[in-house]
Amino acid sequence: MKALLGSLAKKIKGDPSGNEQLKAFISNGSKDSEVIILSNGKKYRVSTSPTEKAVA
Amino acid sequence: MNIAFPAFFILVLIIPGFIFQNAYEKVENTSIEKKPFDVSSSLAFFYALILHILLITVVLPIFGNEINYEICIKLLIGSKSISADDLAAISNNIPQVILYFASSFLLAYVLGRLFQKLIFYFNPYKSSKYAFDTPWYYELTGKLSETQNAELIKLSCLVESKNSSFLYYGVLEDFYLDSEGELNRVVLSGAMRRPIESDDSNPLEPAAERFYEIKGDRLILKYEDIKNINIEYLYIIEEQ
Repeated sequence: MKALLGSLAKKIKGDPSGNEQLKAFISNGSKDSEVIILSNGKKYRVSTSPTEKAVA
Repeated sequence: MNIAFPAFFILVLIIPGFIFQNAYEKVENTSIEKKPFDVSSSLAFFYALILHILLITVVLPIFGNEINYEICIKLLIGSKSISADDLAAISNNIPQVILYFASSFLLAYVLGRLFQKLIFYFNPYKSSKYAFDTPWYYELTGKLSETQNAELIKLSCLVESKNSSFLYYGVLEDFYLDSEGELNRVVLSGAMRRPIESDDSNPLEPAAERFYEIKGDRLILKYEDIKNINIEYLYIIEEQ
């Protein structure tokens, strides 16, 4: 069965640069959030906390 | 009359109940509701009854047809007193009989899918009152009330081998459940691993250097090999 994968996550995973940055973030257990920049210059903040959304 | 025919007739009458149940309880070809066989069979019988009542009272009158209950009962009890007139009535209406059962199968499937969508719509989370009884499904598709804005899942799995334990990290892509609704295996993308001992060897070493990437697109881990799983929901927002 397909696991959770939202539309923004799809965009990041579909971009080679974004996917590499996402991998780096995932392997780094100490960071709570990270800004990922895609090849087209768009920036996304990946965070382990839903409160980041409210702050942003 | 052959003794097998009433059994066949009853089976054909009950099949819509099983079709409804199957359509209602399956997502991506995996059943998300586990019931004992006796409960499942009883429910299928009940669903079939409801479907036939719906067809007989609502759909058939629209097309100007009606059920000849006398012949139906004779067929059900395997009566030997079926007259030539009854047989003629049956043979003259074979297309209608086939159409009735075909439409009952189709209606059962459509209603099953529709009811499943309604249940998911009104009970979207694991904690919802009428949620399906498959916790893994809700956990791994992010359908928890507190994670409704999550975008993807980071999975950390501790796997023990003979001499060492390894920690696997990755993005959860797919998962498979067994017939009991338990997790059978998980599929990770962008997977990395490191021996668990590396946690203590050099705490100042950057985390990325303690891991090594597993070459490949998808890593499949069997649940029976996993000692524990850490699920981390990740949230993504677009920065201005």
